Amino acid sequence: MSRLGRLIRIETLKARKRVALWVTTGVLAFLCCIGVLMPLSNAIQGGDSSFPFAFPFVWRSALQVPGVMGPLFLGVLTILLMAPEFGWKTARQNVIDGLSREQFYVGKVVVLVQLLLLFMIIPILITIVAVLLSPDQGPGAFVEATDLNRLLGYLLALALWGSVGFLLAALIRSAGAAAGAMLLYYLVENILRNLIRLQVPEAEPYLGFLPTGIFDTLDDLNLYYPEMLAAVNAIREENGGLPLEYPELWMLAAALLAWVAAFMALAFFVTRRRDL
Amino acid sequence: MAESPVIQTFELSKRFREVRAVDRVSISVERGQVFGFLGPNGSGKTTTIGMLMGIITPTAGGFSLFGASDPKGQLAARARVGATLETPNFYPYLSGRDNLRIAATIKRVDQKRIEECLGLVGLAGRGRHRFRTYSLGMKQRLALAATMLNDPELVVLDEPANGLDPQGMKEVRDIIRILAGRGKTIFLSSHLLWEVERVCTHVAIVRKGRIMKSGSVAEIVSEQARALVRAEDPEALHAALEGYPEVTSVLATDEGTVVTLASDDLASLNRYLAARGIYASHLSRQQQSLEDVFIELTEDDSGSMAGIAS
Repeated sequence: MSRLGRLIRIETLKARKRVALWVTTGVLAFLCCIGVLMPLSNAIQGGDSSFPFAFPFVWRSALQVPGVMGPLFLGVLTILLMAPEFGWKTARQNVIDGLSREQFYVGKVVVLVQLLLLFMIIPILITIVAVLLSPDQGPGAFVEATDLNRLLGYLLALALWGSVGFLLAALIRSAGAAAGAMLLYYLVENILRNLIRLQVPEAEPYLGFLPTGIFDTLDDLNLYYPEMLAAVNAIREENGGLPLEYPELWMLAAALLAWVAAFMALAFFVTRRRDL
Repeated sequence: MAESPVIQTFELSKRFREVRAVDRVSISVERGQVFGFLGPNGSGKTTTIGMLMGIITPTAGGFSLFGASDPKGQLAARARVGATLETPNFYPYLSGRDNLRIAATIKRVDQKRIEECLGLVGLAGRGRHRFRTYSLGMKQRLALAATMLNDPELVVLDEPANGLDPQGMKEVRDIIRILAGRGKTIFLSSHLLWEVERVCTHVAIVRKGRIMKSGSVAEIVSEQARALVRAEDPEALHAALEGYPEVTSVLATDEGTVVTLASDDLASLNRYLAARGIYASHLSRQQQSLEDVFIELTEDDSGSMAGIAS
């Protein structure tokens, strides 16, 4: 078995019987079902035909519910799967048994990647099943480039909170405290962002590149669908407001990946240096 | 070329902020030895083992495992080691068997070994039960099973008899003897001295992070001679013994006066007493135990414990 294959096997053995894994993914799946249930029920009852519950339109609403909850759940789940290894002292036993600290870290990265894929697949799968049950007909395309951007945005948000959870688990080593710290961080950074925005208006363009700023923007459909943005701006213009402006998706993606890299590098440093 | 020691430490040290947990420890464990690492609680035993196992980074000094002193070589050498530290460390939500599956995968061991090792420690019937439902004794046995999965050349056991009943202790002792009989090197940390004395060939006694004494058990217990002396006037005897140049300690007991001597020459002691008009009514050699040596070397710690208790 290759070195990576061995790590995947070890981490799968550990994760597959964790109740936290199945409860969290179950709740996410439930939320995704709730999100598609109403439009599906509308479609079955012959509702508004201007927005048929069919491909490719369905992708606009598919991530409405998991868009925020999914990444936060992923962060908490990463903590729940990683932090107890320090409390149970199984991380130290893994190293005693022959894993290097670097291999232990890579094993946890493997778990994070597996969770990312799982959290990505769940809403997509539920959406596809729901559309198959819908009587509505679309123009034929399964997915459009703008929808792919929306899905990419969700994946990036998952990576962001996954890496935040990863770092906090490695730093704090207690699941409860790390999960609390993650939610506190989300709240505090949001509050700070708004306070700075009020006090230093010229800082506004930069604040959106803080982790929670990027996260909020990535969940905004106006970023992905120009016609939606145009409609919103037309209403704002009618009411005398300034039009909304968004950075390019690639800029947000680059900033987010830089944060993810920084968080993961810090977690690597901590795993390597601290005693187990 | 001479074979490298299985474990060799060179001035190994670890400091936790102001606390010097391990202070320039230098020991050498040769192949086939059953090496007891003895010390009171908090003396640095587990920290030392933690450094050898790569989970604690030394602040100074170094060590070699099977002759490997670089991190990469030590990682490879750990494949030849089976070790468990302090309490047994397993995933509480997994069964004993699943826990061993993880350990076996890390150690690259055939999964067939799991059943053999569970059987060896008497847990074959409980392998499918979750670890959290095990008694402390069963947890210790599972730790022993995990330790033996890779048929290690070096077995490191940190307080393996903790929480075991007398029967369990005997079983652990038997397993250690079986392993030693197969030529395994065993590094055993414990504060159960009579247990250690029964199984170990060599010991190091550690106190406040420093090695106080090390060598073979036979050497250590025979290094100093002890004698029981009785005379008509115990007070005069006590005073005379305190003046004897070879004496290291004098202790009045119900049975008589116990004297520890630098040499084994009781005839000279008898002549010394007679020259001072004290005629011994009883003079006999006493066998010193490892516990006596240990207590003598660490008595400040037990004194402080007594102080706390009072």
